[in-house]
Parts: sequence; structure tokens; C-alpha cells
Amino acid sequence: MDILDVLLTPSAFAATLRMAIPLLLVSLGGLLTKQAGIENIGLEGLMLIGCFSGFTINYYTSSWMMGLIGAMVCTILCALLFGVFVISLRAHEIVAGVALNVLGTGLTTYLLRAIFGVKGSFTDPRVMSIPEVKLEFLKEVPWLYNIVSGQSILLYISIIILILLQYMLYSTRFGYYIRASGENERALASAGVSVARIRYITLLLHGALCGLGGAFLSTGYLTQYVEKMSAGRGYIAMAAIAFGMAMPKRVLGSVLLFAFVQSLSNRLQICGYPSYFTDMIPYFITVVVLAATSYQSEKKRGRPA
Amino acid sequence: MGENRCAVEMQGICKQFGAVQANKDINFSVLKGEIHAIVGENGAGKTTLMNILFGMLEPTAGKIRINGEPVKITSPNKAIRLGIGMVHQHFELVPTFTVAENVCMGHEPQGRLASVDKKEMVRRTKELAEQSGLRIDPEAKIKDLSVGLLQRVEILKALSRGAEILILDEPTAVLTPLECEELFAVLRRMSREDKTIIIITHKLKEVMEIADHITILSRGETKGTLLKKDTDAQELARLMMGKSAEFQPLDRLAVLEAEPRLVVEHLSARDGMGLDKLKDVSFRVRPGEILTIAGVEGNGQTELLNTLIGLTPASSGKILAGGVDLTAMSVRERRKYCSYIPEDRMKTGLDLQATVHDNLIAGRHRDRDWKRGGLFDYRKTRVHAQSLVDDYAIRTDGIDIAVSSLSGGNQQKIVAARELCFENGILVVAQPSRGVDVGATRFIHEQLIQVRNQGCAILLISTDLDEVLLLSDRIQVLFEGRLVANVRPAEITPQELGLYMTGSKTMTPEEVSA
Amino acid sequence: MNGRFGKRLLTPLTSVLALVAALCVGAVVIALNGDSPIQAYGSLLAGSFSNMHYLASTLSSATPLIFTGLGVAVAFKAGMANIGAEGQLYMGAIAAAIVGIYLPLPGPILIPAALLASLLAGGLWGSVPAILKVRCSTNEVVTTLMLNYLAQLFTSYLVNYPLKAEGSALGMTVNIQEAAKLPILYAGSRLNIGFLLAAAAAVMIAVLFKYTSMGYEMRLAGENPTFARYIGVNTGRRMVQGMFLGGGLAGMGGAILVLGIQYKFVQDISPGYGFDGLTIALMAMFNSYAVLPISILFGALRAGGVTMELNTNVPSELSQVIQATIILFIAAQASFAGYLNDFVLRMRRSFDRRQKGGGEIGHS
Repeated sequence: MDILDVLLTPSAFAATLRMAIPLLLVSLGGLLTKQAGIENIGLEGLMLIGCFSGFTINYYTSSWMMGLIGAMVCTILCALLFGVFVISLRAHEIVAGVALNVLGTGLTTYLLRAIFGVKGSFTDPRVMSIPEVKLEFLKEVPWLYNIVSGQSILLYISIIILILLQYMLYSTRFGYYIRASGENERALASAGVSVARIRYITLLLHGALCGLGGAFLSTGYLTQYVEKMSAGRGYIAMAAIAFGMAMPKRVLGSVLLFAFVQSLSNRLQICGYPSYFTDMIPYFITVVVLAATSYQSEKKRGRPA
Repeated sequence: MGENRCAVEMQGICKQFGAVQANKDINFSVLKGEIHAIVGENGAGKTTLMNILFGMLEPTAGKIRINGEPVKITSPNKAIRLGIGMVHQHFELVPTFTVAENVCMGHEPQGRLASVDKKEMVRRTKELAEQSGLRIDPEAKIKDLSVGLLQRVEILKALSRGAEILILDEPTAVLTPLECEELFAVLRRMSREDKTIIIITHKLKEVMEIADHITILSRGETKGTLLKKDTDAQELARLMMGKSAEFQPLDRLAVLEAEPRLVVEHLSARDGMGLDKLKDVSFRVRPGEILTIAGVEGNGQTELLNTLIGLTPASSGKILAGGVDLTAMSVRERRKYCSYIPEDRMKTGLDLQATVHDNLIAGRHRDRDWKRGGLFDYRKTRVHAQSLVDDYAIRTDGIDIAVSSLSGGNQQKIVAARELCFENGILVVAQPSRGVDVGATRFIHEQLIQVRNQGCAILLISTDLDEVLLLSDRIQVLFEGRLVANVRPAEITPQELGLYMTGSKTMTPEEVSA
Repeated sequence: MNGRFGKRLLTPLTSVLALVAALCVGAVVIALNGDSPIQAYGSLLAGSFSNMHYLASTLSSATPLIFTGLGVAVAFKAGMANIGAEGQLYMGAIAAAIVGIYLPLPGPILIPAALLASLLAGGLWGSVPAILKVRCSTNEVVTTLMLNYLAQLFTSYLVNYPLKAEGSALGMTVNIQEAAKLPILYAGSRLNIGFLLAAAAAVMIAVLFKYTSMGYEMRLAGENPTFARYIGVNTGRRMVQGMFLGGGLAGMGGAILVLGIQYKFVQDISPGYGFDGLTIALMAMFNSYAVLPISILFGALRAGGVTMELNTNVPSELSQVIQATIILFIAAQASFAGYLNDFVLRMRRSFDRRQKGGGEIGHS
């Protein structure tokens, strides 16, 4: 009983929302490329680059806004580099994604030492935290106030982005092209649209979203840079995309679920219980769901013996 | 229809693919508002010619005029702008999109807030569908539609981009008879509205039904353009097939008077989609006999072959080899009784990345004789591989190089060499001369006859009439999954065979099984 | 395809070019940091090969890499894109640790038993995505990736709770029995007989693929499953076997870490050996002999990186930047080879045309 009391408090839900922000941003970035027919397993690396560049630029400019913009610029460049290799040079996307992950961990750790001369983690008062939004008018409803008030401004931004993406994907011409390039690129090409162009633009958005998600970790969630601080969130995002079948609303659902599970883990840890099994849930669900869905579509297609 | 203006003129078109000349100096013109059929065997160069017109291929030489204007068509986009639309054999549609979304792709009407105006899209599609007589629900999802409806969507897609000249590549290959009739009604209506229609086909019955003019292609060359009312199916078949059997007859011994060795009884099979592609097929092949299953491609040959190999299960019926029932056996077990040369030798018959040696020992790689202490005895396998290379005159720089670096003809020979050396008395061979030059074809034919003379029972599956007439002791024709004729080559003309293959003529089931 | 300018010649060439290009990128990164690339690379080289001690530490860091590299190569050869060597390594490592700590066996049997346990654990872990692929056609890339994290978390749980050494702050087991420690080859280093086992494994894998029906069928299943099926190969079974073997080898890499280097299982024991294995296998083009020198090269990057960091200002993570660049170039290898090929052909053609003096006129 007492465990449940700790787990299902407003502050647990508030933590869930906080955890959901970076996951949501990165998942949205990943679902775009997935819809456009590119599987980028380098989300983790991109996110880490976003963490580091956002933190560093914030440190030098003392502006959270510049930090976010700088992070996006860096990750966009990396995503476009990935694009050059995958789209123009026809490199294997999985292999290029692995390279992005290795580059992300290597480069950030290298630069942490080269720029700040430290190992492990770094923090400095010059770094400005992304502002939080206090919703005083909700004071009347304490439980809601405790959950929603004091959340980062990025929570609201990421919700707006989610709505915009949903609209873009299913209502605009560009969204049609993204989906068409993922489902049947020849259909799109035969309609006279350049598939490569669509994919490059998608990767640009993909990079920006990963950068935003990464920068939130180091300048919003914490105001500190820690080596490898993305801590597998890129892979959880991949799991959320797979579980949510790359559709924005479903991905939001799986992000919230996984974020809740993560906050659960943290709580359990604080209370001295093992959190490893709750940490495993996103990966486990994804494997099971992937197997089930592919089995079903296989059965529908009727496979030869 | 009245005016005599040319919508399309193609002059001196040549197209070279490596050493193969797919189009040789082709002259071809189509009047505005007519239905023009291009007929020819597989590989006659029909699709190549039309791909050139649609800007998907660039000709090696030649000129094109559209409505009298000289043009250079460098991309499908350019072709679309010139008012040319093409409906490919394989549809290029987005499965989760609606009909309207596919039809309007590339020129979606814009609504407010950068959105796509879905209502307008549906309205336009509906309007277009009514105008052209291609009735369809604009809001249906592509993945829920039948093949016939998908084709309508493809035609609408071309029309919505303002196509005045419409190219259809084998449009009836995938349609049911009823769907065919509907399609033809639509095409006639479009032609009355002064749209020009070019249709690629090899079904002569359809040609006679729908075309105004007919151009015959054979081996990359034009054999002339005829007015439909001045010709008949027989003449077309003669022009299409060309002169058969240029080579001297091959020496053949009499068919052995023995029990049939390969017996197939009431065999039926389905394709991956669950459609019946092979319907109640029965035949028997005796030792020293070549029985040919002739027919136009896509009439069940692939399913027949896969069922015989054991890759797809038979939905009913039996396969017996020398009295042994193979129907329930695995692929490997069947190989003891039967050898196979598949139709797609690059994909099914070879591992292009592996060496000549590795390809030649495939299927026999478990032989105890070739092992020493459980490991390959390379001295023995290499001797075997080398002797096959020598016997079949396979031109290669040794047996340790990848098959991919050999020429097409030599790759084919590797498959033939491997399968013929099993000597288990039954050989099933599909399209043995496809993609092979004349010399290699001759060589393969001689080998087949030789194996036959040694008493092997051969089932030949072929779409090439020359080959069918040259090699067969008996011919059965497969049309839409059923055997519709059973004849001896001496008793039939290529023209008549062509009529059976195109479904213009059929025998009764009793005659077939006789 | 005929006469295509030596694919055989081009691919090793592009591998070398990728290495050179990566070193150049590394040099730029070093120079941007205000250090001398020559000095840094010199120190890296000296720190990995200049004396027996350095050489031993290079070879000992190469040992797990050989195993993971082989593991990935075997799986890829059998047609499975195995991104999961990291997870397979964890499972193998924990299995070896459990046997090494708890099984009361005499010396000569204990080590083989621990190795066998790691082979089985890694192999079974690797078979899961293969079975899912064969049975349900589930994409193995995502599942192997996810299984990495499951393995890492699961082993972390074990060494933090049921198997935790009392009194230690970090999650780790107690030391393995003395008899389970792999014999050292060079005194004063951790270079152990694991290295010889790795080399032997490379030979055995080469023999498997060249001399046995099983290896032959795996290769066919990986290269052209349609052909393999037509020849009578049970492609599904061969793929699962390939993944079992691949996972088992990666698992043995984990056993080497436990039995030969750490002497216990420490939480997060692998600094990315599984992913390095992927790079190595790709660079080696899945040839098991080529895995050896490339693993040693990567071992040198790891071992020499530490020395470089001590002697110069350059952080050892530079080697990861170099690695990432290598992977990118290797991934685009086919394109580069294609461009190089086209370039040669174009040169040849323009040469021919000049010889002919004009040549024929193309279409207007």
C-alpha cells in the first residue's frame, strides 16, 4: 500500500511529464524520418550531440534560447551529414546510424574534455536553465496545480509541435509527400516529386527535434552536462516509435507510458527497490509488440511454406 | 478520328543495352484519337520502345515528334508535360492513401492554412471518373481495392495530369474477362473523345477486338503496321512469331515405349495472394520424351514450377516420379528424383556472390563421397566442378571466381551443367533460352536433346514458340492455369499454336487428356 | 556486370581509404584542439606497439573485440543483421561469472565449463531475434537493438541484488575462483590465453564456412535465400543456427572480460565492445581472418588512446571519432567504389573516343 502512495502522487505525474518532454521531442523527430522511409538508429547519438551543444552554447552566451537554437543547428548538421551518406551515397542506414551513435558518444566526451577540461560532468552558473511556467490560477485545484505548474516551457512547445506535425503529416501537401516517400517512393517519383528532396527536408526537421530534446536534458531537466546523459533515451524513443506505429498520437501515448514507467523506476530506486525490471519495460513491450504485429501482417499476406 | 494528324511519330529509334540491341531502327507513328496496339513476343522490344516514349529510357539514336513538334523526352516529368501518360504493368500507388489522394498526387489542390483541399480532391476525382467512365469511389483506400480497380486509379492518375496520349503496358494481363470488357469500353470512349491510346499486348484476340492500327515488333524490329480491318489473327501470329527453327533439326531417337516417369495428376496451386493460379493440371512424361508446357507468361507457369520443386504446396493433386509420390516431400528429398532448371536463373538458380565451384556443387554438397572426416574434400569437388566447366565449355577464369563476373550465357550454363549432371531421369526446365544469345541457346538445346536421347524424361516450360516447336515431342498449352491443348509439333503450325496460347482457341478437356 | 573494374580489388582499397580518411578527420579534430596530430598519432602508435608491455595490452584489449567481430560476421554471413552483439556479450559474461564463482569444479574443467556457459547464454540470447525473424518475419535490427538493453539491465539487476558482492558500492559480483582465471600469457599484463582462443575461433569459423555443409548452407541462405531454398536448404534453421553461433561468440567475448580481465562481473562491463564488433565485421567484410588484424587495430586505438591522453592533451575518445568516420565511409563504400569505377570507365571511354577521332553521333 505504501508503495502505491508514493507512486501515484501528483509529483509522480509531474515527473512523468518532465520525463516525457525529451522523449516526445526525439520520438517525433524519429517518427518523421520513419514515415519518410528512413530508419535512423542514431537517435541516441544525435540527442547526445544536442545535449552537449545546447549546454556549451548556453554556457558561452548565457542564453537558454541561444542554447536551444545552437543545439538545433548542430544536430541539423549531423542529420544532414547522415542524409548525405544515406540518401546521396546510398550507405546502409543502419550502419550509418551506428556511426552516428559512436560519433555522438565519442565527440561529446572528447569535446567535454577539450573545451571544459573535465571528465564525467560539468556545471556552471553561467548556464541559464530553460524557464518554467507557473500557473498560479490553478492554485484552487491543488492536485492539478502540483502536476502542471512549474513545468518547462518546452512542455508546451512540444505539445504545439505535436499538433503541428499531426496537421502537417495528414493535411498538408508536404506531409502527403513524406508519407508517400515512405510507403512507395516510386509512386511519388512518378508523380514528378523529388523523393531525395523530401527526405532531406524531413531529416532537417528530424535533426532539429532531436537537438531540442537533447538540449532540454542538459539545460532544462538538469542544468548540468553529464557524460552520456541521454542514457538510452534515444533507444526508448525508437521503442516508442515502433510501439506507436510512427503515428503522432499513438507515439504520444507510448511516450507517456514509457515516461511514467521511467518515473516509476526513479521512485522505486529512491525507495530502495530494484528499478531494473521497470526500466526494461519499454524494450520488452517493443519486442513483443513488433513480433505480434509482424506475425499478423505475415499471416494476412499468406506466406508460402 | 477524322483528321489524319499524327499524335506520336518515332523515327529510327535504336536502343542498346550492353551487347543487346533491344530496338533496331524502329519507325512508328500513331494517329491522333486512335487506339494503336503494339504486339510482339516477350523480349520483342515493346516495353523498351514505350519506356523511351515516356522518358524512362534514353534512346541510343532516333527522333521523336509529338503532335508534329520535334521533342526530346528526357524524363517522365517531361513526358507528362507533353501530355503523355503511362500505365505500367506494376502499379505505382501508395497503399494507405485514398483513390483521390493517389490520383491528385503531385498537383493537390490547396486549401486554407497550407492544407490540401480534400473535398476538392474528391470532387475532381469524381468528375474525372464520370467523364472517363472509370467508375470508382474516390474515398476508398488503395489497399482495399481489387487489381482491376487499381488499374482504373492508374489511368485516372495519368488523365488527371492532362494526358492526351495514354500508353498501357499489358493492361489486360491482370484483369478478369469482365474487367477487360469494361476497360475496353472505357478506352473506346476515350478514343471517341480524341484521346490517343497505345496499348502493348500479346493477346491477339484482344487486339482484333479493340485496335484501329496494329504494329508488330519482333526481335527489336518493326514488322510493319497494319490496319485492323485488313488483317486477321493468323496473319498477326505469323508476323509476330517470325520464321521458326533456323537451325538444322536435332537428331533425336524415338521416344521409349515405357511407363511414364513423371506423372502429374489433377494438380492445383495458389499464388502468394491465395489466388488459384493452377487449376486441375494433369500430364505424364515418358523416358526419352520432351513434353512442353507452352503458353504466354503469367498463365500459371511459375506456380507449376514452384509446386514441382516443392517451394509452394499443392492445394490438391499428386506428383509422382517413377511411381514415388513426391507431393509431401521436402525440396531436398525431391532432388533425389528430379532436377530443375528454374526460369529466373539469376535469382533462383544461382548465388551470384558465390564462386563457380560453390554453385556447381550446390544440391550435392551433402554427398558422402565428397567428404573426408566430415569436411569437404576439395580435391574431389574441384575435379567435379572443373570437369563440368570443361564439358559445358563454360568460359570462366577458373572455378574460384564469383559467378557474377561471368557473362549471362555462361551463368546459365552453370545452372544447366549442375542440374543435368544429377542423372536422376527427370528434368524440369523452364525458359532455358531466356536471356541467352543464339549460340548459347543452341548449345543448351543440344544438351537437352542429348539428355533426352539418353532416356531422361524432360518437362519443358517455355513461352518461346521457336523453342517449343524445335524441342518438343508433345506440346500442351497452359492458358489461365488450365491445359487447353495437347498436340504434336508436326501436326500444328505456329499460327495455330499462337491461337491456343492467346486463348483464341481451346480443346475440350477430353482432347487435352487424350 | 562483366568487366566491372575489379570489385575484388576495390573493396579492400576503399577499406584502407576509409581508414586514411578517418585518420585525416581525426587529425583535423586534434589540430582544432590546438595539438599536433603527428605527435598525438605518434604517441598513440608508441602506446600500442612500441614495447612488449604495450603490445600485450593492445592484444588483450583486442581479444573481446575479435570475439564480437566474429560473432557479428557469422550472423551477417547467415543473413542476419546482428546489431545485438553487445547484449549477447553481457549474457555470456554473466553466465561465465556465475559458473566461475559458484560451480565447484576442479581447475581444468572449470574454465571450459564457464566458456561453454557463456557460449550457450550468448547463443540463446542471439537466437531470440532469429526465431522471431524466421517465424514472424520480425525485423531483426530493432529486436537485436532492444535486446541489448534488456541484457544490460537484466545483468545489472543480478549484480546489484542477488549476486552482489557484499560491501561493494558499485554493482558487481565477488571475484571468480582462482581456478577460473584464464592463464596469463605475458607476465605483468592481462594478456591471457583468451587471445589464442580468439585466434583459434577465427580459424574454426573460416573452416566452418569453407569446409562444412552447414557453413556452406548458411552462406547460401545469407547470400541468396531464394536459391538456397530451391537447392533444398532449410534457410530458417540455418539463420537461427548462424545467430546462435554469432551470439555465442559474442558471449565468449564477455567471458574473456570476466575470466581474463576483470575477474568478476561489474555492472556495465562492456565499453561498447559489441558495437565495435559491428564496425570490425563490416571493415573485414565478414571475413573471419580479416577480423584479427582489424580487431588488433581497434585494440590499439583503445590501448594507445590511454597513453596518448597521458602524454598529450588529446582525450582518448578521439578513437571513437575516428571509428565513427570509418564506419560512415565503409557504409558508403559501394557508392565510392561505384564512383571510382565510373571515373575509370569514363576516362577509358574518353580515351577510346580520342583514339577513334570523333566517334559516332548520339541521338539528337
